[in-house]
Amino acid sequence: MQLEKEFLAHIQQHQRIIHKVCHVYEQESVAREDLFQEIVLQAWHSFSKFRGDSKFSTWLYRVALNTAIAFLRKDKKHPTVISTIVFPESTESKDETEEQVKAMHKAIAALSKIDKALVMLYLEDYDYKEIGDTLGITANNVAVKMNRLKIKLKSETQKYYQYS
Amino acid sequence: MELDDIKQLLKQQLDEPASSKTDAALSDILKQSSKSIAGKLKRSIYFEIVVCVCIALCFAIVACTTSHWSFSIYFGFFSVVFVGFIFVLVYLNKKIKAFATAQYAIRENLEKLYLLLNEFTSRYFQFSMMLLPVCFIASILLTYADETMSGKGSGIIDGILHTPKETWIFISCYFIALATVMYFFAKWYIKKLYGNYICQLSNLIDELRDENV
Repeated sequence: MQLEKEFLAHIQQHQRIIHKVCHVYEQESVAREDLFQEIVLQAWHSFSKFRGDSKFSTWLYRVALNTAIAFLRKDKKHPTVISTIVFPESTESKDETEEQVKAMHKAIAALSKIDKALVMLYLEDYDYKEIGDTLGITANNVAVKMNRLKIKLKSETQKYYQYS
Repeated sequence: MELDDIKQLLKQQLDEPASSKTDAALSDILKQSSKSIAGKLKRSIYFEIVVCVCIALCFAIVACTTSHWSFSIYFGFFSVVFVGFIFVLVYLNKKIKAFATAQYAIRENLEKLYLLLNEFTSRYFQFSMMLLPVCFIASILLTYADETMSGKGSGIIDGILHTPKETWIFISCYFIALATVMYFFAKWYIKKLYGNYICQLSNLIDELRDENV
């Protein structure tokens, strides 16, 4: 009971991380809710093994990304590795930056699950070493992947921006 | 526009507070069952353990209570086979539990899940295939044993040696056809259950390979 209380307090404080991961990995609200539940459950099942070696937020990021990447969607016969669902269009705006941000969102939504994890950790200002530790690859490999990813996102954003 | 140009803006948007869950809502989530692949495997293994225990018990009862010694051998043997399978299932369950409660780096996590699923599917396949010849040989021996018991036959070995060639050809063809159908059915069924997921895991692991070239 005490463990549950402690866990809930941690999750209450850091649930923003889970919402973020759900937002990037799932575009439909039902799927997002499913993923949210799954991440909380996975975190709860492994919480007894959390020894506080790292910050809770770092640990929760790892749990959330592991769950999101390995998550098997219930409603799909062949769950896809690449999400092609497009971000919902909001009110029309002539603001160029906003359009470009929207285009970037679309480009990120179309990335593979691994690339999404890279972008998420990069946006969280993790350095290459920390990203590598979370992904289980070398910092060098992260640097190579990030460079390729940036080039890819630039060209994809351009495409989406032109079409918008 | 590059990712770095709008990094702060993207970060801000992702940081925008989503609808926060209350303690009660979070507490409710903890009571639900996991939809993860490890959770699915665990439920499947629990079900199989229960089935195996029931079958092993029933077979053991038949083996102990029947007055026909051939039945005792047949059901006793399969009772032992199912008890053995229970140990395999308990071992797999332990591995899944250890995996489900540990949090590895993403690549390690995917590799462990991949190996776990591969082991589960290969054990499942091996067990299905192993039972085929065992059932077949046991049923042939049982037939001859029954003849021996009723006094019509002249012993198991004599019976087998004096069986007409046509009967053996028929039995062999029947066994080959059954084994072929079972082989492809088991392959198809396992692929249907986990095959696509295993392929996706393999692709994800490949994606995390070194790209220093």
